Amino acid sequence: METAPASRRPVSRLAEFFAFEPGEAGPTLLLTLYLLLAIASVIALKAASNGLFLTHFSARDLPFVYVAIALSASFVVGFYIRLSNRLSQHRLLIYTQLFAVSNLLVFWWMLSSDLPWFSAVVYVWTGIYAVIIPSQVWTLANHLFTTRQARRLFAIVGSGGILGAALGGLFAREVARASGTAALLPTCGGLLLACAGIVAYLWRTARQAAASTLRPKQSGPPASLLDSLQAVRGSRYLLLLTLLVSLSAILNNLVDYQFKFIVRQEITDRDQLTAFFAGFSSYLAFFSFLMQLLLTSRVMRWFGLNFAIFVLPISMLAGSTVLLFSTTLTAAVILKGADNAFRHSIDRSSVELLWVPLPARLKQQAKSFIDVVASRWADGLGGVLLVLFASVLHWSVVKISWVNLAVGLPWLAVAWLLRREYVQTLRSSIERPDISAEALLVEMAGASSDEITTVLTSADEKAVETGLGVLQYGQVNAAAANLGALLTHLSPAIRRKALAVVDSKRVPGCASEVEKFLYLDDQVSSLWLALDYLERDAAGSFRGLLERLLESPYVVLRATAAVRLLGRSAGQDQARAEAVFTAFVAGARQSEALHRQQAAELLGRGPGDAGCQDALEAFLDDPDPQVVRAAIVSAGQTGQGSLLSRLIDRAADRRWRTEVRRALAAFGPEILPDLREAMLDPARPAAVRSALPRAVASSGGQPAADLLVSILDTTDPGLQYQALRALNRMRRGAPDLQFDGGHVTSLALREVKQYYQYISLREGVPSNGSDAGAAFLRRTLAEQLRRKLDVIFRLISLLYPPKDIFDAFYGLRSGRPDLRSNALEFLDNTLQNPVRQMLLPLLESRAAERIVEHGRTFFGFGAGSYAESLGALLGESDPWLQSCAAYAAAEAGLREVAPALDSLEDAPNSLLRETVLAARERLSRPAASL
Amino acid sequence: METLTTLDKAIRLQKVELFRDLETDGLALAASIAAQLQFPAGSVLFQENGPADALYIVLEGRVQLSRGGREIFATGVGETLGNWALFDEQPSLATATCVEDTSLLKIEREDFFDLLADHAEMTQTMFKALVKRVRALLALGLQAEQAGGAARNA
Repeated sequence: METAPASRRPVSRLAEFFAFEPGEAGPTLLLTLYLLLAIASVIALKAASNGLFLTHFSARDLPFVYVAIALSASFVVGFYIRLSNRLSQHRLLIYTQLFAVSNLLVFWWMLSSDLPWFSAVVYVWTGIYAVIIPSQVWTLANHLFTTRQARRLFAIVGSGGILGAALGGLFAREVARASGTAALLPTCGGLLLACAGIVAYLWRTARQAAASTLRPKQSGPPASLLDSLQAVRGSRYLLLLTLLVSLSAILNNLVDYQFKFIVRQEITDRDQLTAFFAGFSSYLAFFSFLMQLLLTSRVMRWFGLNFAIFVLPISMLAGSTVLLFSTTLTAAVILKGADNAFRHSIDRSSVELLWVPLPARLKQQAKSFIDVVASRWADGLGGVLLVLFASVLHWSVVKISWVNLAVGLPWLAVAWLLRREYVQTLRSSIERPDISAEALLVEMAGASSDEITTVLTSADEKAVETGLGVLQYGQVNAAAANLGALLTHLSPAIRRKALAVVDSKRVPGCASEVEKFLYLDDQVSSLWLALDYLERDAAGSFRGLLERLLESPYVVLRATAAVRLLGRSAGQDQARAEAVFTAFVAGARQSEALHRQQAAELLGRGPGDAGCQDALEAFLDDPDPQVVRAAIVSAGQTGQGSLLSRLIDRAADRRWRTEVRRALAAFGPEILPDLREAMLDPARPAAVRSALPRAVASSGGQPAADLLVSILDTTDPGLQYQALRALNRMRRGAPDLQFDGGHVTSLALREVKQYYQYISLREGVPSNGSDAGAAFLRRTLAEQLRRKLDVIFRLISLLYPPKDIFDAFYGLRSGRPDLRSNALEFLDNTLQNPVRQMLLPLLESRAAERIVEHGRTFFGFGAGSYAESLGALLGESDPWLQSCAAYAAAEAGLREVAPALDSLEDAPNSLLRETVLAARERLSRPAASL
Repeated sequence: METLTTLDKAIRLQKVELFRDLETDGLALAASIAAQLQFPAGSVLFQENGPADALYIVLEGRVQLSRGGREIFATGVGETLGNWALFDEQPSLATATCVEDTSLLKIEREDFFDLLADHAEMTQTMFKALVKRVRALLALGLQAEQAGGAARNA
């Protein structure tokens, strides 16, 4: 069903263009304005400090102030971190800004004295200011937005930075021309006051709206710079992030030096210099702003970090290479232009995105340190490199480009590593702890062996049973002395559990107690286990023991010993053993249920050619479920092909379906073609066919997996789903199983397509009013959508690490915005196209209309009229969905769907037939009586 | 009252607290074991201390519940009787009498257990519904206790 797109209001178009979800526009625009003002003040102050410094000093003195900035930054941030420990985030931001305003006013007053050294102080101060103030904007943004929001919205926020750079440059140029460079200081103070107002407002309003993502201050924040340093050292991700930021800062310094050196050679006048720097920044920023607004947000949305994180290092490497061959002002402008264009836009958005999935505590510990101290230290290192190469070794600006390349290439490598770590961090953030009951028991058993020994001698039978249960997972050394006595315990449950421990742990020296056990117990499996132990550990001849047991007064013990003898190499006792066993089986057929069960069980353990095997067929039809269960297990053990069909017929019966599954698995892969035939046989009940995939999975191996994948192509949704579940189970146990990626992908895309179709059809069903049929249909469609998603993720998990995919699935359904967002971001960075391209929009969009839009774009689906939706649903292959549609059509009196109903009159599904007949009857009534 | 289809019954069952959280196809399964019955006024559905083995949903009419000859309350259209009877074998606490011609859906315990046994996924939903109900009753009890305490203090 195709429909024309509905006309939308300009505001909606704007929201769609920027990909705003409800409630996001306000905080985003305020943050954008905040960054605009912050960057404008930074650019204006940088222009002022450049002009002031280069009037009194030469460009060759710049490396010294870079080092001074690095050293000062450590002190400032050390203090800043201590302050952040005492103040709430918004107070920290506001107080810092007010403090900076007071500093600017003092600088303004001091500049009138025209002291050359003071221009260096202003330069250093501006260097620190230029890092702290924008970093604060991003820290706030990091707290307000989740990963997915960050990916969509950071580019918009970043555009504020670019626009701020442009306006800041123009503003600085005009103020410098009109009132002189010094006047820039108090005017920037005014901009900062506005920033403080925005922070106060944003904190108050957005905090409530994003309460779930604004986590409370956590315990153990850093108290000092050293604590922050330790936090960074303890995390590979943060170390890489520090390296990335540092290499970026070093290269920025080198390029900045080269640029300023070349400019200073061309322009000598102080105010002309200020005007050039300001003008350069402005024109570049306007260009960058347009690019950021039109391109960056889309690049971030479409490609994410995979692409964005490489843009700046690659452009810097390219610019440096150009400078190697040309030292003109144009080449310098290109290099610095590339730096400025991307550093505050796409690169900043990428680097800030790297912070979002980190836990709040880690973020709090490390962000100030990396943003300010590490980057300033890197500036200092850049300064040292410049001193070394420019001042000591007297390298030219061209030659310094080789240093650029030496720094840029590792930067690229770190970016690549960090991109991988980013996905790993997302994976960790959505991971659900995998608590294995067995692992817990092992831990319990290991931790309390002394207590278990005490428990084993207890008079409390339940306690002894529990102790034995735990012992199976731990060391038995300390408890071994008690186990022998427990083998002859009055309680059969304790005896049997003790035997299981003695056998599985190979506890030596219990032969005499195990032999006594044989005369106390009548359970075939326990007798068999006891004989296993004795065969291994008994001092005398095991065959002699079996021969003695043939004379035992207990029939089941005699029969068990006989079967054991029949399984050994031929001897004089074989005929006697066969006679004992045959007599036991024959007698059991006429005896009580326990005997029949014992006989059925022994038939599975005996050789397949034993004369009495025909009894197994009779036991499969026994009225007692225990006997049937034992017979089913034995049928699997003997592998009698003649019993296969009868086992399959019993696969859906809840009383013994587990045993049937195991028995079929015991037949091995040879029966896979028979199972396939049975699954696809329409004459067999649906319940039986749906029970078989799990049996196929139990047999394991690649052929079973291939068979189940082929079953996914069937049109029976129940069978298809069970086959998928069985495949998921197999993959969890055997991760090296191979699946046809192309085939599974096409199946996943088929489900994705149907998801879009169903959601479009649901949009055509009225959601208000008193129409119970429509409401029920909408509810059914909502359930179908949930199931589709379940199937899609199950299919995807065949191609990707299943635990990661299921963790992401649960993250999406968790109801926690941060977890959901990280799950989406993880999938976005893990899945490959075309699944990623088509699946992500339907997972991400909150509003059904948005998903319908995507469905229209991808497949041409669209929301039609109610009658059209019902017509389409009646044409589906799912009888339940068809039934709901038929009911809703009758309820709404939609006679135009009557032809579609007529075609379902003889549907094989009884519920559908019943509903269609009732709907047709209802629609045939006069209009007034509907 | 005209005969209801399975879907008619399913739509009515979704309003019953116990079945509310079932998926719609689960409701259809529950509907398939729900029998539609008509009772003339004065009919007794179950007796106090007598066996209680079914859940009833009133489709039309009204049913009066009484205990020891005293009327407790009456249930109307869409309301249910005998929710707990599906889960335990305790005798009925009250007598249910139709006070007018009444149409009902009846789900018997045995059929209900068979359904759950065949559809394990429904059992989980039933557990959730039961737990929700027990919690609600506990909350009511706590409220009553607190109100009693406040009254005593006053």
